Amino acid sequence: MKRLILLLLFPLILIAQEPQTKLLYVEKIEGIPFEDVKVLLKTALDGKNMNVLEVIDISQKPKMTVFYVCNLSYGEKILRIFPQFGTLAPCRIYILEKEDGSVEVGYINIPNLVKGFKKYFTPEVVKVFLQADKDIKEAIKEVKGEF
Amino acid sequence: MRALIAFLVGVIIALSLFHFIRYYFGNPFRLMFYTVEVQNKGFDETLKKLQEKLNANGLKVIRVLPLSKALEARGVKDFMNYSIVLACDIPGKEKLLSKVPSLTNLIPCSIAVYEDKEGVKLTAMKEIVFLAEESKKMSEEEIKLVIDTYRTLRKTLDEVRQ
Repeated sequence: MKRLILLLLFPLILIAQEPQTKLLYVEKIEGIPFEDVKVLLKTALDGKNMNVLEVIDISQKPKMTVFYVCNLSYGEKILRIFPQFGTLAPCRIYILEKEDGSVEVGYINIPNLVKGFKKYFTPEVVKVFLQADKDIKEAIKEVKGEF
Repeated sequence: MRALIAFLVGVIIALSLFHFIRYYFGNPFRLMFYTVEVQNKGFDETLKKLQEKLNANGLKVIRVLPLSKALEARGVKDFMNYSIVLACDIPGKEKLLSKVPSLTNLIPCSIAVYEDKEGVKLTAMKEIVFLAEESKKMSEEEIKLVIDTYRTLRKTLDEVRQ
């Protein structure tokens, strides 16, 4: 019954809002073991001033870890105007070992989030959100050895 | 004449329904966040009561992040009182999160406690946006677990508000 209600609500959300794609941004990291990705990602995020406040191992089978990440100066600029967004803080970035040995890394799709709130956000807030997104993507690239 | 009246009533109902949908789902803040304004309590008292009520209602508190204190330590003096309570450490989350990773944004939950010009407020996320996108991957029990957790969270926020 609950699933039916949710399925009925989904088109309503689409009608009422700008068309959006996924809520999650996902990348695949191949050729690097899970434990190495875990260490490399923490180091890369720290290097981008995305401070890792907490690392929680969610499960062992499959291996999954969540990083709780925060940049205080970004937080200050966003929450001063839109305090509700503290509910998305600290930003959660997960890594998940897939059956083929690759590692999936994902976090909330920030550009889509910005699109959803574009009528309300100031240009400064948009800039901060997109800079945070860029920092995280660069950290992932660094883990992959692409940066 | 009767047909015309029926048509006009239908149009009015359709427009009302459309307005309701636009009002409720068209505002992303209303769709995504649940906010309550706390009555007759200061920031510190609210923060303490929130933690007590969350633990009492089975939404175990994991950590409190005193954001305004951290900013103050960095020299930012004019930021509102602000803390983030990380809670909802519910049993069974391991299997659920590895199956539906986007739910890491909901579980554990973050509750923003802040004091703006109007007073102390509490904000939590709503689960509906994530469930609308992910429910196809989830079993009835898993959907129920998330809905029940967030229903209890909203009830807890209402208890703290009074």
